[in-house]
Amino acid sequence: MSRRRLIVFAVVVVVQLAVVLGWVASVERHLATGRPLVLAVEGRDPRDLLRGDYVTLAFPFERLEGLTVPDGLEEGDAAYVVFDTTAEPAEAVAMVAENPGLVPGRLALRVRVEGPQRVTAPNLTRFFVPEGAGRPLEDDIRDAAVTLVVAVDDDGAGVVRQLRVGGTVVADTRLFP
Amino acid sequence: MATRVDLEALIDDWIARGLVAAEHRETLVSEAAARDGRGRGSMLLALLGSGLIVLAVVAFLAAQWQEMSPLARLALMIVGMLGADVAAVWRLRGHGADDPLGQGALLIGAGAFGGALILVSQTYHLVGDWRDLALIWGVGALAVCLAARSRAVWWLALGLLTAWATGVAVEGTMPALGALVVLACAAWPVVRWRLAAETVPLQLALLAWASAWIIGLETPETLAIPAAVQALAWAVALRADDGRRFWVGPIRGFNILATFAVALLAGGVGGLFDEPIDLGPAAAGAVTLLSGAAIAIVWTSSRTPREEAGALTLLALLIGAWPWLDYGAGLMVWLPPAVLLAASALLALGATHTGRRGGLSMALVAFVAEAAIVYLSPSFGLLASSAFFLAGGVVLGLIAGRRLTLERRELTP
Repeated sequence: MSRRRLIVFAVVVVVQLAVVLGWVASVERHLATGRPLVLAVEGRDPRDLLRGDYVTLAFPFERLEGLTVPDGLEEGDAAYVVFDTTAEPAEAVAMVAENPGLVPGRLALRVRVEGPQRVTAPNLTRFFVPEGAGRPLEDDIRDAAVTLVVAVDDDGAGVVRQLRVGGTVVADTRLFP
Repeated sequence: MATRVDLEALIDDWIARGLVAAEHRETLVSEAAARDGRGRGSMLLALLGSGLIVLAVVAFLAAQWQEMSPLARLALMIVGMLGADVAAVWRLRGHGADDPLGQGALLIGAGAFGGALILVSQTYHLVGDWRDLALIWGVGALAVCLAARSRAVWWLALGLLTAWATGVAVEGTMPALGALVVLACAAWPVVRWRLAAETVPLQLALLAWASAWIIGLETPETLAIPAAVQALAWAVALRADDGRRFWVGPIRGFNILATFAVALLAGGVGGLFDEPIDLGPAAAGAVTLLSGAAIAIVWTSSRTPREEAGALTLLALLIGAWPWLDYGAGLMVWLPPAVLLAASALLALGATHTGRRGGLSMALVAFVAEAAIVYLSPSFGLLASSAFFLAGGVVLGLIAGRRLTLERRELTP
């Protein structure tokens, strides 16, 4: 391996390292600075070929009960579900096309429109669990005892921060809590 | 490792320049080819071992072992990636660019980069899209391939980028041109370094993408796009191999794709991708007999090339053996994968020594099948699978190192 090739290879390795650590840093920052939103959870458990077992999370607000998709939005568009954070778990109270910004007692979560009466929350639909731990968690979810704490940033993007079963934190995603 | 085409071109150049007498041409070509063949055995074992270690990493991460914190796992991935890259540089600088252990270490480093990406998305429960993960991993592997001129890492990059391109083609989430540009980047080393053997997998990749595009088609007029892709594939083959394999690539690409489709179908029928199906001894025996008949047909047909015959034989054997796997218990469950691992190593050694391409194909298919069985079958836990892959990878690496030492001693005057 020539000296020039060695330098190019070293640059590639440094870039790879920067991609991994930069990704970690950006998510950690999101988790540290995002405002907490507590959501009720529904779910089931399949397996991802690369990342192992996970529980598919579903949320009551995704069915848009009592809410409507704003006019002009189509499938695949981004929208915001506004939650009343004074309740726990938080309650969806409105759906809007633009981020309403900071409002006391309210928090807007960015979602993806899937149909006239259906939305999904990107990055909140899978919760990875140790091999074989999916079914017990599924049972807990069926008993309506599970809530998810989501860190929401200023753009409305949500990242999973904690999973709680019966009010007890069973998983915290932060590497540096 | 030069191809025979590269070698002949080099010797012809020496003859034209008066450095070598023309009557020595055939002797030189056969002597160099024999030495190259000896080196291929070590390379193959080292790469199979590295592939197993990458699989061990993926299985370990997928298991989400709770005895180790996510931070410790991330540190392990990063240290592993840097350690493998440093080891690769040390080996490649000391033993040349074709050193099997150096190339194997590069592959492990590129695999650990993917492992770190998988771990981050898993730790933070970032669903994203597996296609995005494959794209970032594939681009990272391609960069390593170009920087270190590694054919081994090129295979990893091609696999990942093909997975991404076919995924976005089926979903229709990416313009065709974008996917094609990325695949063209993967084709660049093949053209630039004139890698004759790599034209077949490259064409297979383009064919897979074109097939995915057809699946995602909405109007028949766009059939022109896969046709254009095939034209591009042939052009690449022509450029990379001086026209010697102009038709061989596409034809064998179709053969391999058809074989793969049969394997997938058999896997689906045999319950490989779902809960295991208990066929019962009578049905399992019938499947085994059918597989035996398929092997007999493949080997007695004069129209089947030896490479495909070898691969098809192994597939037929696996289809036949699959129903019997569930009759094992405890350590017995691990017996078939261990036998397959040993068989692939022995076949690789024997085939590279004697130049039998059918045997080499059997070795490669045995390796892939063994990995698929252990990783996908619900009979094996992920942590145990990871330990098995790691042990297999280390054993193959040690054998490759020992063989390399013996080969070098043999070649030293």
